[in-house]
Amino acid sequence: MSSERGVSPSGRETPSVSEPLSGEDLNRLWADPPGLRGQLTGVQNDKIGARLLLTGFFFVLLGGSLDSLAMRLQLAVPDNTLIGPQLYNELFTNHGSVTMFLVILPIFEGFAILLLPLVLGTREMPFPRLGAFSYWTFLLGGLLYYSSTLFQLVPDAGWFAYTPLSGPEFSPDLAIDFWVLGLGVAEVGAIAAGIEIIIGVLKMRAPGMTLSRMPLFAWAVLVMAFMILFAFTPLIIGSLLLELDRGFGTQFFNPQQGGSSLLWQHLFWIFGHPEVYIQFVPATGVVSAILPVFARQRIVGYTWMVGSLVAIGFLSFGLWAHHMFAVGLPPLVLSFFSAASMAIAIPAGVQIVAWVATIWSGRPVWKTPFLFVVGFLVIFVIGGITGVMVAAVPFDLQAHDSYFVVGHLHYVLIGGVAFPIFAGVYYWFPKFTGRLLDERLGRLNFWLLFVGVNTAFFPMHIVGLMGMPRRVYTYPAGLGWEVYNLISTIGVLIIVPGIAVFIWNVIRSYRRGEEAGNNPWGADSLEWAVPSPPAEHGWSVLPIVRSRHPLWDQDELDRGDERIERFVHGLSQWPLRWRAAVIVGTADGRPQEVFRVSDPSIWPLIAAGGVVLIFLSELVKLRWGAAVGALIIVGAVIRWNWPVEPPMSVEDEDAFEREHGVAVNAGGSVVVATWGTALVMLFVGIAFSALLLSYFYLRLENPQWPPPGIAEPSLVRAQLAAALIVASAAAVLSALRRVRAADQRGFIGGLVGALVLAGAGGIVQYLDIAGLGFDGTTHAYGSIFFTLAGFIYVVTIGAMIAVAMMLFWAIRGLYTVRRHAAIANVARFWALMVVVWVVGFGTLYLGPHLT
Amino acid sequence: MRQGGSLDPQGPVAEVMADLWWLMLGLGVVVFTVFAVLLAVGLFRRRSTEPKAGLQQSNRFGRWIVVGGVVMPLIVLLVVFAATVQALRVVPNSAPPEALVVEVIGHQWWWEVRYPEEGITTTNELHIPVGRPVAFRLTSADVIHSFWVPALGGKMDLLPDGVNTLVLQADEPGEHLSQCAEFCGLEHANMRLTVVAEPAERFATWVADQDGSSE
Repeated sequence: MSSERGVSPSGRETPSVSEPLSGEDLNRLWADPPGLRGQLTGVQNDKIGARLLLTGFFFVLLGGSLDSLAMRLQLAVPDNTLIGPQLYNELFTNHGSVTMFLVILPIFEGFAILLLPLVLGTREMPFPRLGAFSYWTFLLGGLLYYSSTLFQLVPDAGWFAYTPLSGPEFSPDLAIDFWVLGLGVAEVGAIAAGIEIIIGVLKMRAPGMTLSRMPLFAWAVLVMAFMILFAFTPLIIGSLLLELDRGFGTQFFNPQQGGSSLLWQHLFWIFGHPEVYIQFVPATGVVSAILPVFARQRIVGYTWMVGSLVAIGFLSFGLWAHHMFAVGLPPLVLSFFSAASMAIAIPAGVQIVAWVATIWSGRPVWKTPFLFVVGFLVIFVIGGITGVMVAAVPFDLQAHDSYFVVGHLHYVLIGGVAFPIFAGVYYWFPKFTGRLLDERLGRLNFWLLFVGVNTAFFPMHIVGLMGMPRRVYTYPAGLGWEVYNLISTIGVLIIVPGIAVFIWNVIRSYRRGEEAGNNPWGADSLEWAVPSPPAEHGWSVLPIVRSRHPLWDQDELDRGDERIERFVHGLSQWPLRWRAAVIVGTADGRPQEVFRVSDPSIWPLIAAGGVVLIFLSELVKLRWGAAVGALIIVGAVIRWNWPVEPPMSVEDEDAFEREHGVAVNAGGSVVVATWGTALVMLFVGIAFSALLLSYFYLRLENPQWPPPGIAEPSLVRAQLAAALIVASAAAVLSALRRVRAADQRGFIGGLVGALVLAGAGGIVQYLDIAGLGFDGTTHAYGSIFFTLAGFIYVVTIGAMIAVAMMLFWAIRGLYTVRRHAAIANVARFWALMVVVWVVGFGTLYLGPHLT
Repeated sequence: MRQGGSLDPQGPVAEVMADLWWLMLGLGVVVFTVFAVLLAVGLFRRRSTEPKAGLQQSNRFGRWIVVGGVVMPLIVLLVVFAATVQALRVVPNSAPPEALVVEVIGHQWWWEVRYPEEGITTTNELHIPVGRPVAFRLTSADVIHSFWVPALGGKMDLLPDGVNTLVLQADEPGEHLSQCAEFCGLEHANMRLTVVAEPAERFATWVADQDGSSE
């Protein structure tokens, strides 16, 4: 079987990369240290991306496959005794939790971290250490979650863990805590990787790659990353509240004490619905990368596709209550969410039409990646149609919580997400291993899965409408459900060998597969210009992009605008003693800054360990352990960001800038640090909003607020504290101005003043809180009061630690007129802290008076 | 027992829901067929020459996308949404004055059924008269459950937070097996309720019989 090597549809040869000046030097610079030290401190994006992928696949074997097989065997016949209710409930809880938290997310974030530098024409991700941190938290969080099996305390309340079932009264043992805390660690990792992906896609691309020349894969993971930030944060808050109820006696979800069981559902589904689109959107990115290559035709409607991705990203946040149609919502609310849930079919439909149009105007090449793409189209469209059906409220009142929904969700998740993952593996495996996966095995793999999936999940729609509910370990005979369940089980028995064939194909082809060249598929995007497998440093000389389909349109990758050409050549002729990467303008792709990407470090692993320690301590109710964990995190983050002597003098930096018009910041990027700070601020803002939402929801659910027996809070000390905090902002602003005016003493004085004022404000407020006549465990009013106050304090203490570190380094003379970017970022974060303080305590103290 | 569930409606609410289902199924089949045909033709049609790759698309594909991706789905969705709103209006959410009131309290893992006017309480079995609307007042003594009789209508959750009202009516006599439809713990699968719809006189007799064994 011959594959067209490196011949693109236009008949051109794939352009080769420029000859590296010293490939060995580059490799040494960009690779991780060898041995165990390298394994633990490594940050190189190939390694991180591959690890995320492999970890995700490992978890799917554990929780995605064996669980399902066991469940379907139990359900094959009525009144079966193969698996009892406790084990069955643990199985479906595990199946849902693992696939939704520990499989698809690391696989797509892994794809992104592995591919983006190559696809975008850079050498690394912007925060390699953050990527490493993200991986360690996934791994450790997943292991913490799974360690529940060692203690026979396996979570059994479903992946959605509805309260009060998951609360302290009805799940008194630690099983649910394993669920909340183990997954909580992984959630932190997901957000970290999301931040990195956003900055990577927006700021680190090859010169000339404007936004409109960016591959759709990059657009898709960008939208995904933003969605992760906005969706996972409310879940973290919700999980915090649940764990407070379970471990600290608060009453957030207890209706008897002013709480609400529905508050959990809202917080969970505000995460949960976007979560499925977080999984679907990157899958469409993979499809958009693969389909045009195998249709030998550019994607039709690129701008429409981008618009659809963004529309899906936004719309998906307005649909969550369609998971709650049966809880007793008012008719107007039902209609709104019904309409919104149907509306999202439109951008999805635009994508489908664009893909079909691309096929239509091209000429299909029937290789395995393309088979999976076609399979995706068919299965996902069916799932989309049943999705519109369940959006219709009256029908959903029948279908909700029945097997109809199980059928629907598996069609959209397996068709819409799993099939593109398989396509992506078959497509990119040759790039990263240098060998092609076997085509015959690939076809067998595809057909077994295609037939198996339809056989397994189609009958579920029917038996659901007949009345079979979800999450039942058995069902009675005589209702006519038997035949459909049996067929579903047979379907799963077809899927299992399909997955086995896949695993065999991967294992076999890794050693003995046909050798792939640079571009076995004749593809158009940048990653196919480098050797397979690529060197550690990726691009020896950065490519210059002049088209949306560089390998189909450009004869060379090192020709372009004259200035940019000189810049790229200048960059590669430098003494290559430090890891230099290029920042470009967000929209126009013009080089903006050259900065130093961070080196391998042990601190991401230690910081991840600190996160695990906090969550683990809460699990075993070791309160001081959490304090130690927090200290470890603070210490690790400080050491992680410890300034390193810039590898280039200011004079050399200025000389380069004069020559090429691009600023050099060998001490660390100004742009990347600013964006990173902005995204962290966004994260804090979203978390804060979720807590405010919870506050007002509880307010609305309670006729009297504060409840009888609790006085409205006095405003005197709160106002004084707020004034002190606002004054501290003025001090920070002054410090910023002073450092810009080269006034070191005024600068340091401003920092000290900020700390003193904030400290005083914190103490005044604390005195007031300590004197309040209620606690956090009697009524939801107190629970949300103390939790929101606690959150504000955490943000404030974080800001103060940052300023304290600034002060420490300022005294050592680190900040000059020329190099003080960090101060501006800390000042911005301080401003956010002040806003959070004023709005947060304003809500707590004025809320009872005003509402 | 008849096996059709929601597809074999025996009351006005379930009829409306079934009608909506058949409409959506019909539209869904049409949409899928159109899509499948277009995809198949796109994949398998014979092409005379190698398409000139590297060429910019002509604008006809722009029109495809607008019509196929926006206009056509929009029309279908508007039809479905209109039918949804119409059906939603027919599904009652407050009890009509002539309704029989039945209180259902969910427990882990059994159903407590009270007839406040008749003064009786039953467990895991409830009877209703044919041809008369029944207002189910649903609440839970512990976790969230859900009450669902597919042949009669949609489901409604039983929350510990308060009382939800679900109005159903049976137009024919029959016996229905109802399963709890919200995961509620260990024996969720076995939390079953027998719902018997019978003519008014038989219902009255049943009520009278219960008096002997009521609280």
